[in-house]
Amino acid sequence: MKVMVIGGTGAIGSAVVEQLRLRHEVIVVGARGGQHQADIEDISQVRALFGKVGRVDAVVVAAGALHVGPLAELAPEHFHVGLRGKLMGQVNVALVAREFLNDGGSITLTSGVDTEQPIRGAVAASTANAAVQGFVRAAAIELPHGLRINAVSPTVLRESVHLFGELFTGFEPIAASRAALSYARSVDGAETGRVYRAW
Amino acid sequence: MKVVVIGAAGTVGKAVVEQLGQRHEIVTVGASSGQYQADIADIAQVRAVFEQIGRVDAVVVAAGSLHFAPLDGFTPEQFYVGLNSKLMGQVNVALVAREYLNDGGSITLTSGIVADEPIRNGASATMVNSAVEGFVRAAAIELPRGSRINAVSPTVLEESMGSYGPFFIGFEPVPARRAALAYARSVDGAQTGQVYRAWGASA
Repeated sequence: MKVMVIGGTGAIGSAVVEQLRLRHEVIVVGARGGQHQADIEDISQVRALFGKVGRVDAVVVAAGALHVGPLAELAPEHFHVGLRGKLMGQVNVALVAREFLNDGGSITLTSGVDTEQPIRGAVAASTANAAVQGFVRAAAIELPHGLRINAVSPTVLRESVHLFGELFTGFEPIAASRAALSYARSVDGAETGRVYRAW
Repeated sequence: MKVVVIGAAGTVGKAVVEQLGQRHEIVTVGASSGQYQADIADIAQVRAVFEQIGRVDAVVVAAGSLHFAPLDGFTPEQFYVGLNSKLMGQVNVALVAREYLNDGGSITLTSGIVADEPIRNGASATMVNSAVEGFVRAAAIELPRGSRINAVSPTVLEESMGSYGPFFIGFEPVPARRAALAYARSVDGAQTGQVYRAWGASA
């Protein structure tokens, strides 16, 4: 299969690239690194990206900005960071990918453990992640040509504990290589509308 | 209790006012009707209304619009209709209400059955309603002074079958007065972070 991994240079993305490369041709897309660059918040950049790459069998997104901060300090613009980035960035990819996927192809998006397991400081993040999962559930029933769409909800990664560990006290971090297995289940599997919990 | 109902003139809102009015003092807010007017998509208007109303014991929101259309052809702008209105409108109310709630007060927002049970043309509705529920789950653990926050997820209402019926074939509609009971559980109850599902049979 030909698989595009957007956010392929990040902590999760690079593990997904490594996992999928065992079996597939992988195209790595980053905001700055990778074989191609695109800011997924801008749907015209996503269109330009797919225009260059052409038809693919699977698209994985492990990208999108979120705001982390206490509820007491949140303003609407903090929510919009995640709505524009992690939510609509991924939705933009799904909307465009739909037109470039071969029959039976798949789209795999990324949510996060805080969708279902709230933690302090993550209200805006949980809101955006819950929206991603909702989008996946709904889009799954309307995609044509046997196209599939799933989400992976990773817990905190061992590789990211030094950045986010304080938020996730008591959560067992997992290696990115293990989280990447969930993406492989989505890409190589046959299910649709699922949330794979890499917890 | 003093309870603000935003969207009080809508189908759900009217039934909520009637249900809660049996026990509580109700302040009605609408986009263009009620005792106070506000477009909740604009947080400045939400602030202005709460400055006039002052402290309250509970806030209920049954307002916010959504765009329904086939996924094929759905644009980012169409997703933003619901994100700006039903999601951020309700989030705006929650952010402002936080400062005006008496200790132990509650915020009750509205999602919808399609958060869990997707329908054709409902990609934005499922996304936005899921986001509302995600917000509620997360905000519940950070609200101070015993403040609570819940969501009610109504199925399609009997009163709305004329407009929404074709989207919800096979779903059992409930009368608005039954859906209103779920809001009463949130306002008069003691739970937080809950989603009360006001669904008919076979959902």
